[in-house]
Amino acid sequence: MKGLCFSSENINDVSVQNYCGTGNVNYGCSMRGAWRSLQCMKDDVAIVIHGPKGCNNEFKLDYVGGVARTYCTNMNEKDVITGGLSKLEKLLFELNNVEKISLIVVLTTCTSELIGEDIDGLVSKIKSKMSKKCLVLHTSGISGMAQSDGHNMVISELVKSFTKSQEKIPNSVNYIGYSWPFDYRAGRDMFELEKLLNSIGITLNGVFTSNLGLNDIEKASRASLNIVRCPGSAYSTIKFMEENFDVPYLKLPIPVGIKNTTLFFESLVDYFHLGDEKKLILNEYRLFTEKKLNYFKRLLNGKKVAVAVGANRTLDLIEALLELELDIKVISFYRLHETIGDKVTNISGKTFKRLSNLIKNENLHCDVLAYPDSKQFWEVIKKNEVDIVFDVHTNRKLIHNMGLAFSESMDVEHPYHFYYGFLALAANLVQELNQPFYKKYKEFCL
Amino acid sequence: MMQDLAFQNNVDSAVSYCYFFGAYCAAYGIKDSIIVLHTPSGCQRRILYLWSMHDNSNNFKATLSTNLIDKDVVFGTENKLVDFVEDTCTRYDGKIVFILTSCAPEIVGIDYNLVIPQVKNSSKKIIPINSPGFRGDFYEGFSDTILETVKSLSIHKEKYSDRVNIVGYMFSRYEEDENGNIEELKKILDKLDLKVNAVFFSGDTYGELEKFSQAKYNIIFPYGEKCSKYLQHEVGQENIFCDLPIGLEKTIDFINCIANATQRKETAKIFIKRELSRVIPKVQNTIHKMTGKKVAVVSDWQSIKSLLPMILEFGMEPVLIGIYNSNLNESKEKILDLIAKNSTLQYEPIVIEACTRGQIKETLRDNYVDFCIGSSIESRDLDELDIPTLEYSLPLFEKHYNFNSPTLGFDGVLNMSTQIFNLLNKKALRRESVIKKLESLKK
Repeated sequence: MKGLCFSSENINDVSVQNYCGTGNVNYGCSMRGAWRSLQCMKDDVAIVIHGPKGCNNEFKLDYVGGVARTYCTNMNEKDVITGGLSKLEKLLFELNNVEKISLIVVLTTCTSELIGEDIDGLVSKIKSKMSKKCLVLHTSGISGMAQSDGHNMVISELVKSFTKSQEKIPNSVNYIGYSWPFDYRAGRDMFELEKLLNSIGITLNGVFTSNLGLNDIEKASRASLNIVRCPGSAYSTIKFMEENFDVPYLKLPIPVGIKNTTLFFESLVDYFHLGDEKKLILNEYRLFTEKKLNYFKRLLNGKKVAVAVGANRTLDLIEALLELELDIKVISFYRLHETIGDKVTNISGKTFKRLSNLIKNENLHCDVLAYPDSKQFWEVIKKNEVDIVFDVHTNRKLIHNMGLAFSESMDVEHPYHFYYGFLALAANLVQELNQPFYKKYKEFCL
Repeated sequence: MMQDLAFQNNVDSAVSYCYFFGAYCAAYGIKDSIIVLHTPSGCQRRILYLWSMHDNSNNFKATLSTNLIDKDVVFGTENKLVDFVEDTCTRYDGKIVFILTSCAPEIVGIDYNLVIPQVKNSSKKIIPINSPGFRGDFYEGFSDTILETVKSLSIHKEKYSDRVNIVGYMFSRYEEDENGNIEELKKILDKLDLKVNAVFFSGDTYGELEKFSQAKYNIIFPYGEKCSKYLQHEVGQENIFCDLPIGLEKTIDFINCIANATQRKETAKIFIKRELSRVIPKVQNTIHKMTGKKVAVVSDWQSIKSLLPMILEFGMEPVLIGIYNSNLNESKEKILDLIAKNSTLQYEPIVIEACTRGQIKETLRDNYVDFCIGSSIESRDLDELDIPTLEYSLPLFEKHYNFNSPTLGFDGVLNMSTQIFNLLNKKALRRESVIKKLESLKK
């Protein structure tokens, strides 16, 4: 179904403000988010999906690396009628006997939830016979919770179950809401984060959940501050840690682009009162990057861009792309909402306000989409004659077939964040725009 | 890496996919179909991701989801579906709309008899399929969707005796290996003076399938067996039941089977002789490398019925046979029977039905094989054990095919034997492999 489409000039229209169109959400369910968060951990976590084997399909691919192993109870028709708890119980006992497993997490599916399987009851019942800790997360897709809610559930449950009260390390931070496997994508960005934090005298306590171990979760309360990367993935955790471990939180922009990266680190310098000399250190990195960036700006100047990412990342990414002197023509939000617990409300007030300010301050003239379906998105792209599209890789071929350049917004292989990552992003954009193949042979592309 | 479970555990991650995915795969095989997934958002995401994994991109197929949430469970999903299908029919190009339901709406209960009549102003054909994942496995979903598609097509009385349909070809990607198989089948049938009328499925359009009832004969592959009664009694066609023509023996059987049914024995005899003269001298160059080699085969039962004879006729020895399908009866006895008739093996291979990843890996940890025929999943899992895999079964996402690479027919024999030879040759030249094999012989 068509979602909302409006021109940037109409952002303050009442009809736009009051739109509530969550029916087109198409970016995975909470189980996927939960699985992804667990997959990134460095300890051996057994993920048990209690549902039909189809729910496990994508996860078999293990494309993202990681060490967690996914099991599935493969519920069939008979199990739907008579219940599948006996299968689950058997599997849990078997996993309990595997030495290397440190944690078992059971994820529910639409099927197990709809037939009313009492998984919490089962786990309570067998708890005394199990030597391994077993968590149950209610992640069924039918609940309507977003993928980020799945991340949120995992992080908060892990913190609630394993974090102990510990002595604070001064000037230390947790980075919450970044779930990518260390070896596949997160590694270089996280190295950069740690390097830059150390250069200004801040210690990185833990990244939730990239390369996170259970030991690290135990020590989460040592941090003096939680940095919120993704509010959708962190809302329960930050509240819990504030109330129980006296760890305050700070929402900072996603550090893509020079301005957001500088703001990110300077906010921390100000928060911890580290002094202006630390800002001078950051200044060196900033100036170096700005100098290198001039080359890319010349090549990217005026190129038209369509951006289609999740709400949280979109505006930070757009600010970064504006630094490269790109012309933003289409902004598409897969989700544009605020979540209160697991309930989705109307178009997000904060994001909307920020979008409105961005449009006004940067004098953007673009089309904005919220919850579009694929056809609507392509129609708007064509209308605006964009040169490059930021989207997920499942749409790469379609974008190339239109003779357009493509840049991955999610499963990025190059570093993406901070100063170095921004240069890599700019270089990637230039390479993609200069790729002659799709333009030259567009009529033959299928 | 984590230690896998002992193979008694049959709730480990099953390799094969669910009924819903099988239904999707079938619907995907019609070029101008639009697929409406009546599901929560996660199912669509998983399907799109899986299909895009093959060549790292999605294709042109419109795959849409109604994105059900808890509110729909409470108030019912029919109204949402009606609006969605109407919108889809208006805005998307395509001849036919498949509606596939996943587990959630099926548990809640959906009545297509209420939905379809309410869809207004649609010139497109709508085929609803009850396809919850728990209903069965991938192959059952695929087969049932073929049947529903066939039932949706109109029946012509006139039949042409030189036309055949192919029913039950497992088409999963718009790539040259799949096209290569179809071309090979068409070539074989052409030599028997038969024209391929319609293929269920091969990436043709729905319009091209509409002429299916004009063929006198149907070649029924194992995935299409569910259609056979309908085709015989309702459409009035003759069915020719064949296994997949993988390897020389099965290809010859395939040709003879068709020739017998269509009174073309002499033509077939000449053709077979000519092809064997062409193919055997080439395959001969590879046989010495295959002789006595130990193989694991992990695939669906329909493929294994043909892969196993190919393995035996090349002089290789099956050590492990992993069958993806669940709900099979008697497959183990049939396999052992086949081996007993066709080889001088002194042992029984290990046969695992409804096999899981853990079972395959654990079995091969303790039982030496030179290589495995399986899917990309096995390829990744067995990397750790240094067992090369010939990727044949679904899912296939680590290989790309830019030219015709059939696995069926005589050209399929050339292709398979080449691939096996190259795998084994590369492995044999590695010192570590030699040492490992020597160590296994000590056991």
